[in-house]
Amino acid sequence: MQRRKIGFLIIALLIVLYPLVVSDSYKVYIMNRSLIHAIIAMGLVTQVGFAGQISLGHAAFYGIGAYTSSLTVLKLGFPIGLGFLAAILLCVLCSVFLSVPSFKLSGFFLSLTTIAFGHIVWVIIVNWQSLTNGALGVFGIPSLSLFGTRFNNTHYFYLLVVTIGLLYFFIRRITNSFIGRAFMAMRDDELAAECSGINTRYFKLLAFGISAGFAGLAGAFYAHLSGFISPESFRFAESTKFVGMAVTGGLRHLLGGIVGAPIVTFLPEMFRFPGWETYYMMAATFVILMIVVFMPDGLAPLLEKGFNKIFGERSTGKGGSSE
Amino acid sequence: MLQMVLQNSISGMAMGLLYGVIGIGVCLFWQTTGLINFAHISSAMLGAYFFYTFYVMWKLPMVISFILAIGLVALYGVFILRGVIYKQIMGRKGGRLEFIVATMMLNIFLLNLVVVLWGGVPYPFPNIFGSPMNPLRIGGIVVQYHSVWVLVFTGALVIGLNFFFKRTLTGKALRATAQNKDTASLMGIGVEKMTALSFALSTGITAIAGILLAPIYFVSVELGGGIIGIKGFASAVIGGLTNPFGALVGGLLIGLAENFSVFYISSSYRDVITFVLLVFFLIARPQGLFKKM
Amino acid sequence: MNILETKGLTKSFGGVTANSNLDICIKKGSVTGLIGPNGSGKTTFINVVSGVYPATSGKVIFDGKDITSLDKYKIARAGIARTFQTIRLFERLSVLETVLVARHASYGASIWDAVLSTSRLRAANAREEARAKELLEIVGLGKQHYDVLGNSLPYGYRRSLEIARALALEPSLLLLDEPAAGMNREEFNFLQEIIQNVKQQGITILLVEHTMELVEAVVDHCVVLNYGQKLTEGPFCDCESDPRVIEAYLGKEDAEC
Repeated sequence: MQRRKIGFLIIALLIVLYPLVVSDSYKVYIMNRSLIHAIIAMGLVTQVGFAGQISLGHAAFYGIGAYTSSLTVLKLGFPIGLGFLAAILLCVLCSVFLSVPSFKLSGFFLSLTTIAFGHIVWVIIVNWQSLTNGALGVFGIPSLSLFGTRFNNTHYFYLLVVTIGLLYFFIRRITNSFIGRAFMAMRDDELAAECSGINTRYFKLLAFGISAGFAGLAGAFYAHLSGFISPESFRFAESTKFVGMAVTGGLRHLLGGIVGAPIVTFLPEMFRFPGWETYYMMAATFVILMIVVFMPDGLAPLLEKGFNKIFGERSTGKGGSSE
Repeated sequence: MLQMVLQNSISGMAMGLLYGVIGIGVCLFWQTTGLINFAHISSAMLGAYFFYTFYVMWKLPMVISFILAIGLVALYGVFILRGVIYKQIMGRKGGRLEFIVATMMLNIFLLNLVVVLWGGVPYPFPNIFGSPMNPLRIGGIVVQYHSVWVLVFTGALVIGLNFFFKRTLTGKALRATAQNKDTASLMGIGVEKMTALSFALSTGITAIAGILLAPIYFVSVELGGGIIGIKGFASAVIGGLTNPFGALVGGLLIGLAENFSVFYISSSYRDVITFVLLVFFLIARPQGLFKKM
Repeated sequence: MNILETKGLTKSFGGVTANSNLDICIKKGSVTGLIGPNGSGKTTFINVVSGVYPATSGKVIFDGKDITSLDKYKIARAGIARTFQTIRLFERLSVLETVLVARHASYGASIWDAVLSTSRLRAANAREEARAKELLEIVGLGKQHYDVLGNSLPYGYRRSLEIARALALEPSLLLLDEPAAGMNREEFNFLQEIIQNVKQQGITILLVEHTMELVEAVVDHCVVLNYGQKLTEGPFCDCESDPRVIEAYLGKEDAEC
């Protein structure tokens, strides 16, 4: 048990030192982007992996969050914190539109509905020019600040790490409780779950709501981190990427989102050897394909096993996976 | 007025038929596996690229290029899609979700592969289906030769498939396997062979659609990138997944709706029409327009 | 006193009428057998009563209340639990977790209790886990099974787990759909014990079965279905020897044999 604590301490140390050791601020920015993606992926793991409700249109919530926070701050003069809140709330509200079809549809049909939702939101963003400035995007989004200091990449890094930590504990509490059990029962056999007294409509609303809220929060972070947003970041291709992150990390593992996002974000960079300019994207997508096909439980369980081997097993109870 | 309506209809119908052909591929795949292949549209893209390579780059005869292109895509369907992806996932009792995500990643990989092999710049498609500058004129209506070719190919496909499924032994065996693998196996049908054949048909037919779409979308990654694939799915769903020919009607519906919506509403909302139709059917009539074949 | 009454219950699928005008009454505290040849509509009846299929027409009255168009989960919480003909377990849940799923309504905790891990939640956890373990003991699953994946259990135990999950709803009516199918002698005997045990606790049982040995051993009353209609009802031996029932199962004797 002591050894495990040392293990966690080492990881914590590595995380704290990261922005101080890495000299290139741009690399920290990319890491920040991947942490923001991790928030989305965590929500997807909850909704898709634990509750069994598929979503291939999540970029829509990411976009709604980003635009809501930017526009309320820029046009309505909201303090940024309130902008974040508005982003989350609006996304949760919109998720109701998506969960209602999920009451009757599942699998392929539900996935098409989510794709449709994603696309329709994108079209609205592009065409509602008076509100969103259309394809030109929104400029000049103020960065977060505390006590007069504007956040730089290092500040954002620590804030994101803390946020992800809090979200992780939130999700862990939920999935390890009777609510998580209801999610998983609904995922594994919806009919049997209902006949066992589970109100699946409520839990679908809850699952969609949580993951939409996460994506909205991520969107708000992105808007204020980057200072500029445009519809380009919220297309269908992005939705696919987010799902890819969740699956690569491990769809049914609590750490799946946190592991998958950085991997998918940094993998192409790892292949950027000199001479590989044309090949690196193909190589990266090939690796992800191989992981998804041959390692269905994702990378998080492997990492967990590795950690356990070095630092010892948990003394009681299960690991982070939903089994 | 009537002339305008007819004019709009013709151009919309040709596109709609092509969406429908993609939808036929989706239906065939669904009937065999009960799964949806999110890399489906890349079969169309590969078909176009292969044809371009054989006909334009290697200067092979047109018919040979056509057959080779479709055959190559069919081989991809059997050995890669089925041999690797399908076998891996279904072998460990993976779920539909796993297959959806895996094929999504496959699609992304194939897009990148195409860029590596052929470059990211779209190639113009040769005018083998008639030049857009020189269309047919019937009455006061302009009809592109390409639209005529689409009609001819689709018609031939429908007749051919119908004959295959209803009159040939292999076709009937295929239908039997799709309906009940175990019973078919007990009847002496080689289920493995039939499944492979289904994969080949599904991908091959979509490749044909790709070659016919290339004059409009160019030989480009846009062919495999997305919205066309969704329209193929939508055609299949609207037509009814259990009836491949229904997909043609679904596609026609989409094609016509698109054309008329562009005419009366703004063109930036063109693709939204597909989604509106799709959502309407998913909510009101998820089983589609037509019942089992 | 009738715990369940159906009045004119009809269920059709397109052109096929699976249940036709059924008037069936089930006495409280009894064990009633629902028998009939394959395709006579027994499982359809169970599906309609438990809310899995909406009735085409007619009524289902449970404990005096009309539950005909109620949601499945509401029917489950109202006190009707069921098992399935082809066992339906939760693939990735353990034995203990499976039973705990059905204890959900008894938790009385909210999502905030879960997030904040309040004492109310911890008390509920302890209480429900204890009850789940009691129920598992009734069906013969012990400590060594708690963390095993439900689907990895041998067949007989999987059926037991399904029954434990159903009992976890604290039902007043238990619908068993062919529980004895595929069981060996040992499992069969134990199943019989479980049913007797459940009956003793005052839970009414509706048993759909093909294995007549079980029906004969546990049932007070039989209802026979044929082609979706009620053929007859009465004590088992009466039904068993009724020529119409025999004909339904075996077919008419040929005039020239």
